[in-house]
Amino acid sequence: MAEFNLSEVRGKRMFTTDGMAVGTVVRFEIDPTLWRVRSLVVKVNDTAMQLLELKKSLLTANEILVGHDIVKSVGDVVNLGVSLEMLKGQLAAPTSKKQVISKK
Amino acid sequence: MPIIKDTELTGKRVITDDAADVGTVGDIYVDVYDWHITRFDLRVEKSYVERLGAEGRMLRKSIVPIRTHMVRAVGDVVHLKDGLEELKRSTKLVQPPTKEERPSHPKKEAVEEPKRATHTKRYEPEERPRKL
Repeated sequence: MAEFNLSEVRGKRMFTTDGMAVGTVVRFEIDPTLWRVRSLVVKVNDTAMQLLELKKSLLTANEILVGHDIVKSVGDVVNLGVSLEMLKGQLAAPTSKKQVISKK
Repeated sequence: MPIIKDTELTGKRVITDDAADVGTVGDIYVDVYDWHITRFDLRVEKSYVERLGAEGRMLRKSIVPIRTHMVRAVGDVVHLKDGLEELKRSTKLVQPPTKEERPSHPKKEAVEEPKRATHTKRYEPEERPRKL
């Protein structure tokens, strides 16, 4: 069992299986009834924004929700169990940014 | 109950079943294997530090770990299942023992090592065996 303080995970960089940096973890979404982290809120970096074909917004933060089920490991960085292409595939449209990306 | 951000949970007031406002939520701990929240730190109010048996700190707030199974509900506040007395008992089980509580191990008595017997014989010049 690897127990982490949430504030330790916050700020860690997130990488896909093909070694691409997605961004940094900024927050978590918690289900208080199950006491489980439902998703990680990731601030997407500029390069990943382009590769994921997400539209940059000046008013809102460029964030995506990543479901805990596609997180492979947590250490110095957060490794995802999917490639950037697969991640892009899950983001069907720019409007679905707030939709949790998880295993289908 | 809606999904909440971790930043919303941190800082929420923690209330016991017997209506004691014991403090606020501090750090939250997660098991990254299944992303289950195991516990959070309760930053104890000064007035409850002694009653909860928490160690007092000079500058920082005293912290008591709260296992998530001890929580009844989360809303505007975090409502605990237990009263103050039960909380004191249950948190004591989670906390590491204090210096006084730790079992003292008797110090091992220093055993003198036996002196090594020297087998080398020192020959006096006239005793030294001659080489053939």
